[in-house]
Amino acid sequence: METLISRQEKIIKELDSLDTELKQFDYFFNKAFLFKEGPRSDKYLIEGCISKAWVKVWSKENKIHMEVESDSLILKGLLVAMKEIYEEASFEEVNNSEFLLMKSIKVVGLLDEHRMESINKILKIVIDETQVSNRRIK
Amino acid sequence: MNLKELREDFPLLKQEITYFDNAATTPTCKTCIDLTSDYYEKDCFNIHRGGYKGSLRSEGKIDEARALVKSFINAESKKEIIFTSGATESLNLIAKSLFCSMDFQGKNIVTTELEHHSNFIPWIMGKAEVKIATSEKDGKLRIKSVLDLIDEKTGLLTITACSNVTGDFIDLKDIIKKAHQKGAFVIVDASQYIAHRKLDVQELNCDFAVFSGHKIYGPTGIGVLYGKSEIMESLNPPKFGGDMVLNVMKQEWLPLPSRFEAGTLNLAGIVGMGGAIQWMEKQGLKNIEEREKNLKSYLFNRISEIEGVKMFSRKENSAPIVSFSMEGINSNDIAMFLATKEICVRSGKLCAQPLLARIDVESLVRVSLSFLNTEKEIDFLISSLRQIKERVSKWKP
Repeated sequence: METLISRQEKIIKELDSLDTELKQFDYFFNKAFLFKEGPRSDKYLIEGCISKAWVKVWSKENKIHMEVESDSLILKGLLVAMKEIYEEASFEEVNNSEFLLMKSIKVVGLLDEHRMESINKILKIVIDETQVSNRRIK
Repeated sequence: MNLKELREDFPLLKQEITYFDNAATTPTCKTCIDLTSDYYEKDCFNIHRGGYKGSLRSEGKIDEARALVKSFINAESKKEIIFTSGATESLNLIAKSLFCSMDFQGKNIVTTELEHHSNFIPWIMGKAEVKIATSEKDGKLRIKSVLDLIDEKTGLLTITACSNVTGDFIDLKDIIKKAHQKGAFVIVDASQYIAHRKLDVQELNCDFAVFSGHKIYGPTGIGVLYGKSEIMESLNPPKFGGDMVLNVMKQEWLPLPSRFEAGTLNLAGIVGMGGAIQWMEKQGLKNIEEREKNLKSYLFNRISEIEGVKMFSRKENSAPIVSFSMEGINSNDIAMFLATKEICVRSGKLCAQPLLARIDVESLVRVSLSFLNTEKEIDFLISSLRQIKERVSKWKP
């Protein structure tokens, strides 16, 4: 059975097999193109991101769901990868796991301070959803 | 100019990179590196406070660098040269000084949409009304808009000599003349201008000018505030500390430039900047100008050939900067793709949000040349831009 960890490991393995920045660039580019358009509403806009990024996170029956969109194809590719990891993950999985994808990324532009900050903001939205929902359940 | 020999003077360029981010920081020249290193090894003693030989030697080096800057921008006197950490600090320093020395009640400050954030925010944060001259949809400054905004109530005009986005040189003569006729002070942000054309503060007749060392092949963390001495002498210093005060209890300040240079300065940076100026003068600004004009023209033409490119720069009367967007491709993606090939460009809002709002783009790619670049490097950039375009076209319907 697929878990958050196994999905993340699969993507990390794929990234690690791509030995150049250019190959990873194409990997994220392709992910972005293969994904349908996400929500472009101000409500879901991530503040402070260099390129515009929209992330909608919600939960149903104790499981996380995500929709993602960005003006930047490379950033959208990364967001799609995040979605692949977190989609349908249980609250328990989210709270007991670490987001490790960035350690395998070679594309320098994805690793700059502002982008990392945005990624952390998105992770916080996912984690917050598990907390808020838990409170709602209680 | 023997380009191969010239590039030897820049250790940074020995890396396998194609460097097109000169408007942000120029590579540091060997003269600067050697003088800085030499200063740290032999002369790094604090100035003005030691009666020993090393301190005096250090003082001599700083004085020498100040003289080089004075001559470089044709200031009337060395005391008009204030060393800061860079153009940003120069602008903040003069803003604070003006705000604590003058009454801006009922006065206005005129600036333009072309300004870098560093020549925008310090004024907006003040208590005066800020009037912003507009540019055309293509980013070209409307000179008439500036002239129309200057009136009897204008206390200050603060304006760039060259846009860091479009590269346009701004014809400042009439603007400065009108500002002075109305009794306003004039600040010129020469950060993007000084590496490409002679800045002659006396001919320009500006009251203040600012620039940074790292944009003239010198060190980071050092810059200059030029101010006409008769005005500077009438202003209060905004920073306080050692080596700027004559009588602490009476708050009497030392003469210029010391009263504006509180604390220990970036002495090695000053010496290094002096070295960079010497290096630039040895090459000759006219030679630099000639070479850069040709390179810009080549770059401009080659980028224009790419289908779907929208240019926000002009070929004539401008610094060697070409800013553009490409239809259907985010500018940050372009920069990241180029980075995979070790091509260094800038993308984003370029610290110029008001201008980008005017020209209605989210972000731009900026290619900024120096005379050290080559046509071959430009060809490599063009072929790489074509590659990313092909990659996107492959997926688009």
